[in-house]
Amino acid sequence: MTSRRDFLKVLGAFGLVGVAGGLAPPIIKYVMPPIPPQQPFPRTKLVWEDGTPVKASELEVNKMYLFAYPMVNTPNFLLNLGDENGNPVEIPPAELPISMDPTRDEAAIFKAQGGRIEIGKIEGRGGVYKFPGGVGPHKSIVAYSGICQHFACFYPALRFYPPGVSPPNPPNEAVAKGGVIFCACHGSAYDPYRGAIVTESPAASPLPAVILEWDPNTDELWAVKVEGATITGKFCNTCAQPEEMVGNTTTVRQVA
Amino acid sequence: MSSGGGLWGWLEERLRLSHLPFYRVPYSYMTLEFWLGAIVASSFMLLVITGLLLLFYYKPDNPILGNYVLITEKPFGRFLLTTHLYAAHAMIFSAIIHLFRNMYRGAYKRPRELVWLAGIITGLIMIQTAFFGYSLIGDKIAEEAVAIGSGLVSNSFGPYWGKVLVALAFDIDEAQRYYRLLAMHIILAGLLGLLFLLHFGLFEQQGPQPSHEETGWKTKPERIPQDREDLAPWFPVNFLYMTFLGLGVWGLIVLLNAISQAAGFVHQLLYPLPIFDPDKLAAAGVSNPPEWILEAAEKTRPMPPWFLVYAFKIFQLNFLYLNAIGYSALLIFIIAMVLPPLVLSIFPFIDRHDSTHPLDRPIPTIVGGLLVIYLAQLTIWGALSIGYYSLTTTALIFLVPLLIVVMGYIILARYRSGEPVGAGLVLAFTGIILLVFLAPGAWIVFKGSQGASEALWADLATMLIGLALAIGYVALLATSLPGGEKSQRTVQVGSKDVPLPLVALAVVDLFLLIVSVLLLALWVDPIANPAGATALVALLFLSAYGVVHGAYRAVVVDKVPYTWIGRELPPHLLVYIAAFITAAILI
Ligand code: HEM
Ligand code: FES
Repeated sequence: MTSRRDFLKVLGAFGLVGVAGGLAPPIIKYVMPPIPPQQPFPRTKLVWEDGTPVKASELEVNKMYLFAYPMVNTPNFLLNLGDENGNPVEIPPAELPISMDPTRDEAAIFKAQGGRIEIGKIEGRGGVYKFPGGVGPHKSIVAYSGICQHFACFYPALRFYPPGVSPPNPPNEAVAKGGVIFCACHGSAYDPYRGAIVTESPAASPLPAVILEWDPNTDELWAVKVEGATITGKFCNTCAQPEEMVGNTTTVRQVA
Repeated sequence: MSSGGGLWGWLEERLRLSHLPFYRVPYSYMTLEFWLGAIVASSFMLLVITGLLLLFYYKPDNPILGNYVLITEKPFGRFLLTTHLYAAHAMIFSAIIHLFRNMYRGAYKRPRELVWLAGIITGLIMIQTAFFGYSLIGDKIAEEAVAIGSGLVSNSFGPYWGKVLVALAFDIDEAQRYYRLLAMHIILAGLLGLLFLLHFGLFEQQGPQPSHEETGWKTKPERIPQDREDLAPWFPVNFLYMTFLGLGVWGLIVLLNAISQAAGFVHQLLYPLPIFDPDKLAAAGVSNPPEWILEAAEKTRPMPPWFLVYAFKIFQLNFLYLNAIGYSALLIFIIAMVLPPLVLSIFPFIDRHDSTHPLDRPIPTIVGGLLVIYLAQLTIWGALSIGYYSLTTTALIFLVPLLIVVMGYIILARYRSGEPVGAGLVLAFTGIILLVFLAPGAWIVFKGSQGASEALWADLATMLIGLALAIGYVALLATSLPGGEKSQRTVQVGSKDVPLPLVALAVVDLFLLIVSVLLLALWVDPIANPAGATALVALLFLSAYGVVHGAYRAVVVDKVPYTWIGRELPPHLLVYIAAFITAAILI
């Protein structure tokens, strides 16, 4: 015999769970926006706002330029890196770890003493990628994602400080020396002279590198690919509707 | 209440207000301590009203332009947006106080466990609602909120599910984003309203926890007996109390808003207006924005509104991140968002002692007190500095309040039970306090010789604030030492005539009410002088508060007799101060 009480309990429980559980998938299906399909990387020429091509030799040393690539809503830094006196600096290629934590390896101790991390000494997980180094006549031009790998802050919170220029409220002396991409949201710092590796956590991945091509004959620049970690918050580095991808050209804008 | 004759009698016969089935409480419970929830509720009402009115002009396809037009061209648009924000601040702040009070008094105990749990869930939804609210604005802070919110979620819940959650909350297509944020904000606000009703309904089933003076710090009786002599009729006594309290809260919110508008940019956490990025403003189609709008953007750095600054600080504590791609922020997420409500939720189930005395409940008193102290410390720390922290600095900063609260608790509890306190313990206790006071001095002398950085000052300030709050909390605990005898305030029975001074006070408030109505309707220009217009609304609410307070006093004058003017004046001072400030802003 089933007591009335137990019978009602079972009915009630199944009824409630059934209705709630049955309604959840339709609601989620309704509110879930479509996950964008993966697109091929576009080969995109860098141009100024008036449409004329950007020449590598026109890029001022240690100034900050922004451009969108590979999607219209993924900003990147374009930097012609130099030393404190404004002379271009050659940026060497390197193999970089996709995931790294500067506070947990021996390099951190080195950095805490004010030194720069040796790339080979960084502890990494999740594979490596090839950072091709700088392009242009002095091999000094690089481009990195302008979206912080920590929690996705972007310009003006995330910005480049040339050598000798300290960010406001620097967390320590190493950052105060400048020559960093620093994020004012939670204090992550990246070294643009070394493939934008992380020199201050909480970020745990180098900024993804935008691969540039430089034509020595015309001095023009193309963005062709993104290497490294996935741009924060994106399903993949080219997951977007076709109309959200930059086309054959993308506009470069000087911001400082 | 007898129904009597006339219009009132007619109404009473139909509405039967005096038969409303609300829990009845004694006259002596008409104090702020028992009405903290009503402060939260009245802030919520103001949010609903201002929020619904904001919907008229909110532009999800271009929120920056919409808000710019709202605050520069729409009469009382700036008033509504800033009041909505300040009401949110008031709601969250008063909810924290309300929570602390109920924790401190042990009001979560049997049979009120569900009231407590419903309150915690309501609070969580409140923070979520506010998060989507300020993300809606589209200004600098809002964009960063969306970025950080999505970064946190996608780095906490894995490479796939993290992003699905982000897509659900913020959309993938940016052109659609603000439609979704608006829907989320309103759905959550509606849910908040329903949860509030649940919380309030559960509370009404029990009524307020009897005061510790009446129970001698015991859990018995669990409820206020409904046959006591000194119970006030819900209508009109509670009703009038609630009404003047609500109007006072609204008036205070709007008054602080008016002061803040008149003061201009003091600090980004207090600034009541959107903080537009000049480039984004131009892109949205605004040419030549006024100077003060651009100035605000220059003076701000990425920082959420104050009630999330604690989490913003936790996000900076880099030693808390996991080494797992896609899940690196999971621990951070749990510490900042899940752990505090979880810890609070278990209080009723681990603390089943039949005493409500804070010194009989070590875990809630120590852990709960520390939660609130840490919240304050993290907020101040986050507002003062950013960046890299070592585990040692962080541990030092949080160890100080921990030691003081734990030792303070032990000393007070021993003293209360008559056990020997132990000279060693007292010495250690004062020693720690002295050490924390003196150590910064030594540290500064040491670091000063090497040029102390701004970040160091912030660490020190945070530590000292922790010290001050912990000492304050121990002092509060000490106030619970004396007494323990049961006592019950008796009701007096006096004359029902309203003394002349009470009449005079109400007449002044009535006069101010009429003045503010007239000035608002006929004189003030809300576009040219938005701060003045806001101040007049504050005066309107506060003078109405004074009037209703007068009515309340008149209704209870036989039970709480008039003694002298000095005891009646304080509630009305607020009205006069508001009148003074309004005049100052207008002239
Ligand atoms: C039915 C209830 C509500 C509605 C219809 C509503 C509607 C709105 C709208 C339309 C905005 C955008 C204003 C604009 O940009 O022009 C907004 C902003 C906001 N809402 Fe609400 N809201 C409601 C309740 C709440 C509640 C309960 C809270 C807090 C717990 C809240 C907190 C906020 C905050 C903090 C903002 C940003 C204000 C600012 O930064 O100036 N809202 N709300
Ligand atoms: S988003 Fe850049 S440090 Fe957090």
